[in-house]
Amino acid sequence: MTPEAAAAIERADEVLYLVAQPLTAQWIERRNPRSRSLAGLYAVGKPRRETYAEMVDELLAPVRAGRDVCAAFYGHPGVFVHPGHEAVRRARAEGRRARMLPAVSALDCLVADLGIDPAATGLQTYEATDFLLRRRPADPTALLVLWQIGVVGELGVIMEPRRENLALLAERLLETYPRDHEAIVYEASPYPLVADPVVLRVPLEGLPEARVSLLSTLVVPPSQARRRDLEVAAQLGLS
Amino acid sequence: MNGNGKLAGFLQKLSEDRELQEAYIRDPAGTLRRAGLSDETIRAVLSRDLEQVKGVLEKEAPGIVYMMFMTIFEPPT
Repeated sequence: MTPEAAAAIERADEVLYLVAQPLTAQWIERRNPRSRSLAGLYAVGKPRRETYAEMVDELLAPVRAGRDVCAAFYGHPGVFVHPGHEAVRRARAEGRRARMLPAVSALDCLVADLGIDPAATGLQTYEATDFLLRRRPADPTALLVLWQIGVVGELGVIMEPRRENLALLAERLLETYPRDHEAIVYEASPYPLVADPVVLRVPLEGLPEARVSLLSTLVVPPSQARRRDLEVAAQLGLS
Repeated sequence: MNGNGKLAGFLQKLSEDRELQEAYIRDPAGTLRRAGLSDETIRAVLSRDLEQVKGVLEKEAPGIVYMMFMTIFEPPT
C-alpha cells in the first residue's frame, strides 16, 4: 500500500472495503474505526452484476450525504474491479470529486516474482473467460498473461476451479502453442516475508490437472521469436 | 501449545514492526518460537509454502472464507 493510500484510509469519514485477507481487514479497521466491509453483499447464487450495483450504491450513499468516503479494494482498485471504476464515474457524473489511487496488482507482483520484463517481448493480457468467449488471438511471440484462470467460465461464487473449464482453456492455447510448451501457474504471496509465491511450471497440456487455485494467474512465455522488419529498421536508421 | 489465533496476530505485527522484521530475517525459527507459536505452526511457516501458511490461518479462523471475493470481473455481453 502506498503512503498516499494509507493516508486516504486514515482521514476518510468512512471506509468501505473489500479485501481477500482478514489481516488486511484488521489493518484497515485499526487505521480507521469508521470502516466496514462490503463482503456481505456477496451471496451464493446472486448475480455478480447485482452485487456490484449494490456496492456502487453503498459507496455513493455517504458521498451524497457529504461525507469523505474511501473505498479500499485488494490489489489495484481499478484492475478487475468494476465497482471501483463505476463508483468514480458516477460520483464525477454527479458533480462530486472522486479519484482513484494506484496500487499493486497481481501483474506487478508476477513481474517481480518471475523476473519477467514486459519490455523484452511485449505483453498481451486477457481475462481468461473473455479470452475464450471472444476467441482473443494469442500472439506466440509475446508474453501472454491470463487472469482468473481458476474461475474461467464462472459467473458466480465457487469454491474450487472446474477442471473441464481448464481443459477448454488448455485446448484453446494448444491451437497456438506446442503441447509441451511450459507455462506458469502463478499466485502472489500476500505474506511475502514468510511465504513464497506459488510458481508452478507445467506443460500446457497438463494445465487441466495442475494445482490451480481460485487466485491463479497463467503466464505463457513466447514460444517463437518475432523477426525484425528490415525495411522499417532501415527507415528508422536501426539497420 | 496450540497457538490458536497467534499466527494472524504475528503476521499483522510483522507487517508493521521493522525490528520484528529484522529479527525474523536474521532468525525465522527463533523469532517464531519467541512469539509463542506452536511447533506445527512453526513448521508450516518455515516451509514458506503459501498453501500451508493459509491452512494455518484458516484453522485459526474457520468461519472466514479467505478467497471468495476474487471474481471481480464479468466480461460484458
